[in-house]
Amino acid sequence: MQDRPEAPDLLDAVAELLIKEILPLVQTHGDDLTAYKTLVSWNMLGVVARELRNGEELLNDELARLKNLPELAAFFAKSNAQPGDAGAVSYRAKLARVRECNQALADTIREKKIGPENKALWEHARQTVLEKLAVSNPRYSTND
Amino acid sequence: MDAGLEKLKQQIEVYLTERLGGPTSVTSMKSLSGGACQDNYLVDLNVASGPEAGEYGLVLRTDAGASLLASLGRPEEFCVAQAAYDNGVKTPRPYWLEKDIKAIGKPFYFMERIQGRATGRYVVKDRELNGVRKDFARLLAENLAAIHGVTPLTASDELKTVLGEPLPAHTNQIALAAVRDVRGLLNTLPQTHPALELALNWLEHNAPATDAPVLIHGDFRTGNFMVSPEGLHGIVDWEFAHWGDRHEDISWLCMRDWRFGKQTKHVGGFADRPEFYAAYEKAAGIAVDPEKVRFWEIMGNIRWAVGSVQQTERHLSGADKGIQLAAIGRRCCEMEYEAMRLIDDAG
Repeated sequence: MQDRPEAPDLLDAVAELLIKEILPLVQTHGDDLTAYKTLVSWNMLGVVARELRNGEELLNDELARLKNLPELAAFFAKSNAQPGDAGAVSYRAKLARVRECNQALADTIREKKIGPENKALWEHARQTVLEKLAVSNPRYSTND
Repeated sequence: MDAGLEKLKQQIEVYLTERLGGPTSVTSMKSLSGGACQDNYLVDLNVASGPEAGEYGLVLRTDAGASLLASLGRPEEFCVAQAAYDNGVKTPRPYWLEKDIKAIGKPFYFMERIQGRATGRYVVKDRELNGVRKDFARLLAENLAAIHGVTPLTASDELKTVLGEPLPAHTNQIALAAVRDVRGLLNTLPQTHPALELALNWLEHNAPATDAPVLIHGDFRTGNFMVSPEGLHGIVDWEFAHWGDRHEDISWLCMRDWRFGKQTKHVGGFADRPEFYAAYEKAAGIAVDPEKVRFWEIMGNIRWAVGSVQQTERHLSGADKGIQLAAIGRRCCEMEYEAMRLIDDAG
């Protein structure tokens, strides 16, 4: 176990430096491109911090939903009891498992020509997109 | 001036002196940090005599080898820009295409250097444009109508060769081909996107007919036209041009991602849809179909979702590094969200 501060808090500190001290300095030099890249970097530190704080929980939610999709029943029956399905496995193993699930799901959707008329699947897909937005740009979905 | 640039300058002088029939000197030359697919240079020229004698302020556009999927090379881009310019589109006048790589080692052409800036935030927010911003909708609609005035029926043989045979009018083949193209691109990505697959099936099921195939700019949006307090100076960046449905360009300009924070101004972050549609209808003499705009706007969001992943892959593969490219992959879900929202709206 690492000493304090935890990783997201360290990122917050770097983000604060970028936005409050580095960016104004770059702006006084009139370098618009570097100023913009600094802003993008600040934004990405926020993304990483949110992923560190909430990423695993969001991934657990997604995996739980995937397991309940009828379209993936055959997939889970065939590849029963993968390490990523249980609770106490690494984040990385779960990521790999969800990636596999999404591959199988995307293949099924294309093969069976499934569209928004499949309400349960459509809502699952929307929830997954919202979970990605919750990390990358939380204000996007409330700002229509 | 570094050695490479000095050599290029001399090659250009030798080439143009012969081509233009008068001693030509490069009076100033500077490299521009161009896009991924070309190297661009600012070039000032003096042509001392001959039929084209005079002073020129130009941009030199060359092929840089690595090209984006489905983007035109310089000779093809020249042909499209020429056709648009000849049809009255406000775009930098193209000059002196050379396809043979003997001259400088790659194909190139020149284009007029125009005034203004294209940056999204400048276009939608800068106070110095407050007096002219209200004219953008009409000016862009008129220019878009002029672009769409170039059709397979009126095109030169050369342009027809460059853009290929168009798919037939009055069928949904153009829309269905676009669905197939995007599926093909999705197959090349390292991660799958179930939301996009669902949306593509909706598009396939709802593909509208195209009235008539026309020249599509292919990236007609805020960021690709130059403006100043004097108004619109020109439409740029023809590398994604193709034959297609006019609603593709109309909807691309209206996509949420090109509003640069001016969320309520659906048209490029500077105008409302009814005003833009009306101006287009007046200039083109053809009614805008809001249902078709929605179809192509969903398509556009899916395309740009795929495009954002491709940009990030350029960074991850090492082909083209940078924080902006790295960051853009995490924006894919914004376009996924928009595509799904628009489908829900369609009911």
